[in-house]
Amino acid sequence: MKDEDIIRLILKGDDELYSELIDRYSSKLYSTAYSYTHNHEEARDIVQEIFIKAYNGLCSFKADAKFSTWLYRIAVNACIDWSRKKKSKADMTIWNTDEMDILDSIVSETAGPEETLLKQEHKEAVRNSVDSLPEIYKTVLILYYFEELQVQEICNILDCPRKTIETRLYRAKGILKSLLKENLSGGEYYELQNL
Amino acid sequence: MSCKTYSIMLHSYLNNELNELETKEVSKHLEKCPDCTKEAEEIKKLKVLASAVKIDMIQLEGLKKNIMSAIRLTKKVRTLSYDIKVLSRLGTSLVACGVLALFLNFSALGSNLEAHSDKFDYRVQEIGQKIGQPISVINKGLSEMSNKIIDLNGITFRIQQRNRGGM
Repeated sequence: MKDEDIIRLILKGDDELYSELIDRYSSKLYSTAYSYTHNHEEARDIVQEIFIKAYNGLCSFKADAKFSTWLYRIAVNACIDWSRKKKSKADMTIWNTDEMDILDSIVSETAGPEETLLKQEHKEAVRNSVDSLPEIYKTVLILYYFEELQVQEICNILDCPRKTIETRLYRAKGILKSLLKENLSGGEYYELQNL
Repeated sequence: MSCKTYSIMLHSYLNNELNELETKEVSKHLEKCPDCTKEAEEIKKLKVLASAVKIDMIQLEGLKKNIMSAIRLTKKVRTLSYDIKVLSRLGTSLVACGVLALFLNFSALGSNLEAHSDKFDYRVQEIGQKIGQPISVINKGLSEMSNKIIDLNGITFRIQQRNRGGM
């Protein structure tokens, strides 16, 4: 069943069908939220907030747009709101050590200890660099590289012309590159370049 | 087109999102421009890097349940607020009915008052008549008396003339 058909039925009163939409999009939204928060609990909270907001606004959803685009728009706004709140609280604790342990254990299953450590450093460097980007560049970068969305989809979500998104991506990549250089020592950066 | 223009188009180019003409132009440019080729390679590498950095484990257990519970709760609150609205509308209607009934009662009271005022008017008329009757009698008497005075004046004048003539 198409998203739009499900929405029509939900609006008629079959609320339980909303769980189908949650199944379809929760992983993607979780991944987006996690790209901003780097914290599983906060990512969960944001995803929950996104789905509840979307449910409450289902009446305003116009069938001429794609549901995924509409949902991503809510998601991006929720993530940006989260970033702003976080900044205003001046909470600089970005990395949750528990989450790092989880990641460590996952990676250690597939790689040797040295390689894992290196990868972990790379991950940290990339995440830190993405996190340091200005909001407009960070959003397009996450949507393009991490969520693997098409440029046109990003245009629809952010309601911007293609040229604007392309320019932001171009600049974001340039800034990220220089930030990675700052965050990694020469050898590591070279290694990262040759991934 | 400048080199930078082609560089800016690379993200769309690598996703096969450009039209036929644009794709041809960018491909042609990449063949002869090492800088843009390097830029394209960097985008590809960054894509690989991003997928490697993406979260390795998604913790979604219980998330759907939480969302659905919140939604059910929202629905209950909505239904409840709808019920309250209906009740408040019913209450408003009842109050309106009461006001209307009261108004109708007042109208009846008004007609009673009107009836009473008619009686009152009649009494006033009666009193007026009772007061007016003697006054009209007095008036009548007065006018008769004044007529007689006038007549008497005429008689007096004639007597005086006769007396003057007789002298």
